[in-house]
Amino acid sequence: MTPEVTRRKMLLGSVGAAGTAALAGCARGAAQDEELPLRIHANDATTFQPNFNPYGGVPLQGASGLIYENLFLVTAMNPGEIEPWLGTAMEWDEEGTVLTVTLREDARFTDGESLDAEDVVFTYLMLRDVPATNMAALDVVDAIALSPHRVEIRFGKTSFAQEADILTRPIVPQHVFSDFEDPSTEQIAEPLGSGPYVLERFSEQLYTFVRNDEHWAAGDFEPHRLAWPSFTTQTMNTALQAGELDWSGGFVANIDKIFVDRDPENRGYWYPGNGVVNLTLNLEKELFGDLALRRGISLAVDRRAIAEIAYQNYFGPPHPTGLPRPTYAEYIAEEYLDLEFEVDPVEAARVLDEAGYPLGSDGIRVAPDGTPLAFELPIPSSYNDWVTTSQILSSQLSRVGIRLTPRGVSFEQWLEARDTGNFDITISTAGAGQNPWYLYRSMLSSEYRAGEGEPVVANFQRWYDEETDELLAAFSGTDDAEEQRRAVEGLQRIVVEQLPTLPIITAPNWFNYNTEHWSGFPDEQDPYALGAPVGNTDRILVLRRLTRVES
Amino acid sequence: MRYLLKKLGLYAFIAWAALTLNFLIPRLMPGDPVRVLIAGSEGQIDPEARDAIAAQFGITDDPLIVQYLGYLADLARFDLGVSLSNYPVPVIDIISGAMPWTLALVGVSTVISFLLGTGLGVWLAWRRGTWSDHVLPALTFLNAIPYFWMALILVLLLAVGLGWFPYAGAHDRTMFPELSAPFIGSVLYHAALPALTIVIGSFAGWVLQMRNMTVTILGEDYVSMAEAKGLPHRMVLFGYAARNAILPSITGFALALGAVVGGSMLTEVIFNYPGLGYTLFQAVSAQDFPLMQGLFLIISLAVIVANLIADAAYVVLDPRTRQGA
Repeated sequence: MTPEVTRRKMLLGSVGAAGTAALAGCARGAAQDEELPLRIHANDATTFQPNFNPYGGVPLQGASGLIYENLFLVTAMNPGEIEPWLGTAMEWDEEGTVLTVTLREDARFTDGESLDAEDVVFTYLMLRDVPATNMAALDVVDAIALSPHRVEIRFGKTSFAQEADILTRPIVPQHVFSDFEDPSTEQIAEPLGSGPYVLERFSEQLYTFVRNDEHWAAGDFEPHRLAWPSFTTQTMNTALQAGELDWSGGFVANIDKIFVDRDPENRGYWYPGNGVVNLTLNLEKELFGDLALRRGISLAVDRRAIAEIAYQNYFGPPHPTGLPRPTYAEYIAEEYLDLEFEVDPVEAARVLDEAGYPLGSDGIRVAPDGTPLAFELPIPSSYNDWVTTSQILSSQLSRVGIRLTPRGVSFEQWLEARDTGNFDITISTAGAGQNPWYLYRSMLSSEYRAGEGEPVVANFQRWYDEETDELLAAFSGTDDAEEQRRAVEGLQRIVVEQLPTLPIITAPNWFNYNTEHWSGFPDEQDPYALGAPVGNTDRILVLRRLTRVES
Repeated sequence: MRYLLKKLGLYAFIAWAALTLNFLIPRLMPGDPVRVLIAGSEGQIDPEARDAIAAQFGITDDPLIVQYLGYLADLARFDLGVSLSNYPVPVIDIISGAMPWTLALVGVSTVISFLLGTGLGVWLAWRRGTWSDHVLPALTFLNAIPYFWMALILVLLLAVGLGWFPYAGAHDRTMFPELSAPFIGSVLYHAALPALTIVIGSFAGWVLQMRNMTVTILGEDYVSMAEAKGLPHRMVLFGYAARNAILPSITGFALALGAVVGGSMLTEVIFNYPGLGYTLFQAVSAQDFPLMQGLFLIISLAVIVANLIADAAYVVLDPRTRQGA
């Protein structure tokens, strides 16, 4: 799923047997250490550059959440549920434009200064005044300290739907950040935060965090030290295999053979859906405006085969509503609970025949206006899994008389085609976000519509539909869970019945764990958080559960 | 003196041309780093963040000439800008972090390779016509093998297959850099295999060049004269033949040292060695223009300086160039 995949697969044969080398290198340092650190792989890099600024570019993992804390803890596994952290209570006004947050009184930065309303106000005003720090695109209008521990944040529009983003901005110390001319361009090598961990040491191949024992929740965190070694996706495979990592994200080909089988008692992975990969038909082309054609294509695609061949059955095919499972399973409308994509080439052929796409003499169907149904499928040639997927798609669609020719192009060329609409059919990904609204908005919202020839940043199928927009607005305009549910159900109906986009692959949250030294990670039985060690607040939820395994 | 001054002028011009090309080329490349970043995140970065990121990166639509003048002014202050893939870390920090690894690894192996190759070349020339000539086809073979292929084979055999060497990194990932025996040992251990690759991949070239030059010169009249006068073999070989034969190799060596800064990119990539070559590879994949520019700049300046030194060394070593000027 990243450009690295090709190399990854290429090196696989060689990496496969490299366990011994890595073991020899690591065992020395770890064995006599009483306090075995928790070893986490979260950054793909051979060397680190020291930057822990949560609002500056590409900070190293761990800064947000563990050093710079969030107001509340949320996880996409339980959308809508929030757990107090720096904030003890919060309340929206009727319109969803004013949020009042009460803060805990014993939060302190590690230099002894207390964290109070001034710091929270400073952080949210920074989002407003320095747009480059506003990565979640929040429409903050004002923030006011009502008392030392109460804050009011005002928004320019109804912001219920973005609650999770609003509550998880890392809070920064005013007495440090106010000296920065532009906080978004500041490199922070020595972070000063309020969180349960502090940076201990940094080097270009490894950095470590140590527990902040002064922290009000320090007792909840058993790992005393966190080690973040540098691995690229290639070298990570070997490290995983050798047991050098306790907690990691990232795709690993043949994970059962390479990782799990060496110690099935302790090693495992869990890949809950965290988005959806779509076969993207360019709806601005008149041809694809025809629902019958879209239905014919969808019926001909065997998602199960794709999950099996291209993804080794790491996860199942996507749900017809596009909602990732199990993450958003609770939002799936009752009528669709048992629905799965069906593969039916015969029915597909019938639908296409009926809609006026007769088979031509060369076996390719012809549209009513005479255009043959032969398309190119541009995909980035570096995405190995998509290359495999596109070949499967091509052979499946050829059975119903549609020719799809996969064309591997450079990543940049593909971006260009996808964003400017210079394609007939391609593949694109939509992330799950913090609740189904984010997912559907990025796939279907007209707000991403751009002028002629201008690139779009989302909704690559270019689905512009009033009813969809109303449903999206209905969701974001309320904090009533039932109303939001109804809006999401309406959106599901559109996706299932009108096929604006064709979900073909589940986009997972990559998470591999090894409980040889630490246990308590989330899994299918206990899905309390997303496992990949890259989420601000999911990471805290997981860290809190970990306990040292007595050996 | 005039010869050197002329050369200096020429190199100043070349340096300016390199600076200007260095400015232009990345800007002529297609692609948009912000979109690459967002698409690379697979939907985990909110598309709304596009403008925020573009603003952070300081991507502007200023006319080229304005950007060019700004670029020259920054260069004068040794400001190479801020990396995009490691925003907001200054490019100069990244380069100076990677430089020592490359200089030590590639520099030391280049010197070893040159000394070993040249020495062996002289010896083979002296023993020409004996069994030692049979070594030559093997050397030609080594010389013809691409060094990255050699690197892949060595990784597969020695690191992955036998497990004698580590397969990645510059030192053990559980260690912090410090002046201690275990750390230095770890660095040497990690550098051994990449160094071996570079030496094996390049020393044969030096051997062949040196041997062939020496053989030619051993046929010269003044060498026969020296032998006829009954001078010791050692003096004939080193004082008469090798001293003249080494001239082209010296030039080659100076150029090779210049190329050291560019790193053995493929070797570093294969070994995941955190030097300049690997950094360049990363910069290109991430479309990190400022970092690429900074690296190209350092690399081209190193080559230019090396050329200058080679020219100067020639003036010292070969009296004939002094007469010409």
